[in-house]
Amino acid sequence: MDLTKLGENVWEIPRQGEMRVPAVIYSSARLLEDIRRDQTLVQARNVACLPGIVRNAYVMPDAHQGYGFPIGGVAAFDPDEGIVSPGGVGYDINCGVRLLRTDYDEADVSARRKELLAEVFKEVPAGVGKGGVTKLSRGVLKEVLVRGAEWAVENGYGRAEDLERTEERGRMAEAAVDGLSERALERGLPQLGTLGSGNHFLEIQKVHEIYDREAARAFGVDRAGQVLVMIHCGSRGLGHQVATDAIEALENAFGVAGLPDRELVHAPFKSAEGQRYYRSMCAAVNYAFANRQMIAHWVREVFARVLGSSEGMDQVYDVCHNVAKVEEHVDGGRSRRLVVHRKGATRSFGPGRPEVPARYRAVGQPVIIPGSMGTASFLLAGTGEAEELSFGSTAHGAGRVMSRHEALRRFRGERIRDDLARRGIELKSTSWKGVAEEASEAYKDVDEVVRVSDEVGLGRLVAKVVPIGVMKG
Amino acid sequence: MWDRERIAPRVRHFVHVKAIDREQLLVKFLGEVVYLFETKRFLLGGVEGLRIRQEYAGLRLEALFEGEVLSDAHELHGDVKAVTYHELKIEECDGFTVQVVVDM
Repeated sequence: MDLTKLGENVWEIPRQGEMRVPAVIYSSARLLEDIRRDQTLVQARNVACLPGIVRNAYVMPDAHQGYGFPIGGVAAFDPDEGIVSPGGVGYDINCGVRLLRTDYDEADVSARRKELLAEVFKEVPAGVGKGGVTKLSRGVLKEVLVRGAEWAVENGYGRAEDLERTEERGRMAEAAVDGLSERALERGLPQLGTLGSGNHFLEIQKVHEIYDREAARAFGVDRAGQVLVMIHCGSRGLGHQVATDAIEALENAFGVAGLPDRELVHAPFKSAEGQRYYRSMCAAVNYAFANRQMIAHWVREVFARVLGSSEGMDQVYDVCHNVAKVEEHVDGGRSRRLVVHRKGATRSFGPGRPEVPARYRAVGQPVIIPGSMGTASFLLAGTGEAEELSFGSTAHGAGRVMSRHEALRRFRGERIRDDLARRGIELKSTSWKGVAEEASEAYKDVDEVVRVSDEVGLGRLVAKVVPIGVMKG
Repeated sequence: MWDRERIAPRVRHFVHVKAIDREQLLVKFLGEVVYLFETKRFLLGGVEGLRIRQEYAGLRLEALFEGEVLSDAHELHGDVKAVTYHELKIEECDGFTVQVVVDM
């Protein structure tokens, strides 16, 4: 596909055919080679054709082909004339990342890291077909869906101040449970408080390098060698069922004729069907917030037990990277409300935005970008420019370049474990095949992804962290 | 996922699915396997008595799933969480050949 270069690391698919707006791609020439290998650009062009899309369809530096929308896709729609689409959010609704800081240094943890990881592995249920330890009634599940992380904190999982350090304060208020199918509830009941499998992980990390001292200090990250904990997971089977149900319901209501891709099925945002999906999606978002809240609580308990204290283990932040939200953005010189879809993209709000917690408002929100298994992850700060550039969004991770099948053919999980051990990284997993599928070679270079983010202005680099212990589902 | 060949027909689930077209029928049919695994820990071994009928509003499928309940004796690999329409293909060629991408 022909792209116009608009500037360093900025490309455009000009408006053509049925496109209502252009598509803008933030990528280096190197990352663009990967992006061109799959359907990402065709999918971005399809998104640009959707009704009510505002300004541009955006593609983040870590983009790769998804279902319908590309992963690393951002699109905003007018709430009156525009749409909402489950394909613009993804199946794992509110897949996201939570980061905890600690007062510990690498030296405090090194000798006990095997034990620490083994205990975390024992406490946090993970893996295929693995249910949670929490037995929920339907009534309680519905409360979780409405109240998200708030429910978890009230029930003893974590601290009240965690909420102010969570996107949306851990609860999307528009959530409604009456649109969720019995199947979604059934899938959600046994899985609350579980990490899951696939690309989900829990890492004990250390700070490798700090680029922006002021922002890092605001985020509670003070020095190289400081230990952090990162949790990456989502809304489990419940979120997948909400997406599956919505796709079917929208197909039945609006038909599939004229769609370039059935995963792009959509509804007018204000229609009954659109609202039913949106409110159910918000409920799944809340489930995922509660899920990460519970896992973070168990991690703190393990640290307290093994190392003596979890006192300094404050939450840095918790971000969603699969979500649609109604947000206020300046467009064409006026402020307006828009339905922003971020699929494999992280909100990156800059200083001053009211949604950013007061403690971070001078530097911008923390943006957490996990790398692939065993590689570096990054902490960025949101920027004011990102609002202009991408409705306040940036990348969400490394982004896959190799299929799971191919990775399984090329790599062995046990070998990866041994390689990581030689580099001082402990690995525990429920599945060696799962480890092989998540080999870091199957992903893009996250360093390049965040470099582009920083250079373009989508997110400002704050710190680089590296793993010392990895738990994979 | 699991090795279907190693699953004995010990437990049965009756499945019926309605759909607007054959693509949706296929997605929903496979979605039953995901649902039964996650909620009943059911591992599908085989399908008996599969019938697809044209109805006024679309298609209807009935089938009997036979399999086992997950135990320590089974080996699982990968977690299918959703069935998608991505690059879905149904081709008629002396029977049917289908291609389905699942989300893991």
